[in-house]
Amino acid sequence: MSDPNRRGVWTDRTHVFISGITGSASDMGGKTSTANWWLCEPGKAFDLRVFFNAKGSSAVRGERVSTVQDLAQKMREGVRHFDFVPATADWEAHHDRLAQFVAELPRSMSKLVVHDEAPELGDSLLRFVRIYGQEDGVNCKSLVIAQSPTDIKEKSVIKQCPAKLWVGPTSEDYRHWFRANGMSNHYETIAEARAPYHLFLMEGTRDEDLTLYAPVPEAYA
Amino acid sequence: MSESESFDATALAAEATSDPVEDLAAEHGEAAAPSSPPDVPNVFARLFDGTAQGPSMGELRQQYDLPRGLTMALRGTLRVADTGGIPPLFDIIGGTALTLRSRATAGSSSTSSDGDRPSGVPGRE
Repeated sequence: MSDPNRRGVWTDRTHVFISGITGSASDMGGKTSTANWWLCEPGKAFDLRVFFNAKGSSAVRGERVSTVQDLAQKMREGVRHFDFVPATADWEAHHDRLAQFVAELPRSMSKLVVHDEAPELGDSLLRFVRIYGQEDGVNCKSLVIAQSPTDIKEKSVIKQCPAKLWVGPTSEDYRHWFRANGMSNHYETIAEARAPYHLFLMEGTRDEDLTLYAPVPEAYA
Repeated sequence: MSESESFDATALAAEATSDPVEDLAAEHGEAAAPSSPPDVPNVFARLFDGTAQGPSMGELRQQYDLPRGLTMALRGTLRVADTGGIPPLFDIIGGTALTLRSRATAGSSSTSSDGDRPSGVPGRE
C-alpha cells in the first residue's frame, strides 16, 4: 500500500479524473470523500482550493459560498478553501463564471479546483483541463469527478487528465472503457481486488503505472 | 442567472486578491519588495529622483572651488602616486599655463555666466 503523502500527483499540476461506481450501494462510492480529503490534506500545498459542489454534499469542507461574488468577497477576507454550492440549478452558468474568475486571478496563485458532477458542467470544464493547467498560465489543477467515465461526452476532458483515479471496486460494465483506453490490465487488477473505497491511481497503461492506496479517512465522508 | 449583466470576472478577481496576495507572500515568508527601514535615507532613490533639489552652484563652489594653484599642486601630487604618468612638474606648469590662457581668453567676454543653476531646473545630488 502506498503513501499518498509522498507522491507527486497529489500536489503537482497534473489533472486527475476520478471515477467509480455510485455510492448508493454499500462499500461503494467515495469519490466525493476522496476529493474532499484531497483538498483538505495534500491540497494545502495550493494557495486557493475550491470544491465545485454541485450537489451540495454536506460532507464537503471549506467556506460555503453560492456565487462567485461571494467567493471573491470571502477571498478578500483571507479565506482560501471553499465549498462552492451553486445558488441555482444552472450549474453550467455558475461553473462558467468560476472559470472566468479563476482565469483572472494572479498566476502566481496556485489553484486546485474539484469539479463534481463533471458531465453537467459544459464547455467551461474543457477550459479548465485543456488550458488552465499550465503552471506559468492560469496555474490551476483540476480534479474531475464523474460517476462513470462514459458519462462525459467530451472525450478530450478525460484525455486531458493524465492521471485517473478509480475509487472502490469496479464492475463488468466498465471493462470496455478500460480496454478502449489501453488499461485492460488495470481493469483486471481492480476487479480482482474488490476493495471498497480503495484508491487505484493509474498514471499510465503499464502494470507498474497502477498504484493502490488505502481509503481516505472516514471523517471526510 | 438574473445578475448576468453585472458579472465582471476581472473586477471580482482584482477585488478578491487586493489584500490576500500580500498575505500569501507573508505566509510563504517572501517580502513583496525589498524596502529600506524608515529611518535610513534611500540613497538610490535620491540619486535617480529627477525632482530632487541639489545644492546650488554657489554652495558647491564654496565647498570645492579651491585656489587654482592649490588645485594644480594637488593634481601633481596625485600624479606622483600614479605610475607612468606625466612628471608632476610638467603637469603643474602645463596646468598653470592652460589656466592663464583661459583667463586671458575669457577676459573680454562677459563674466556673468557664473554657472549658477537657473531657478526652477531640477538638479541632482
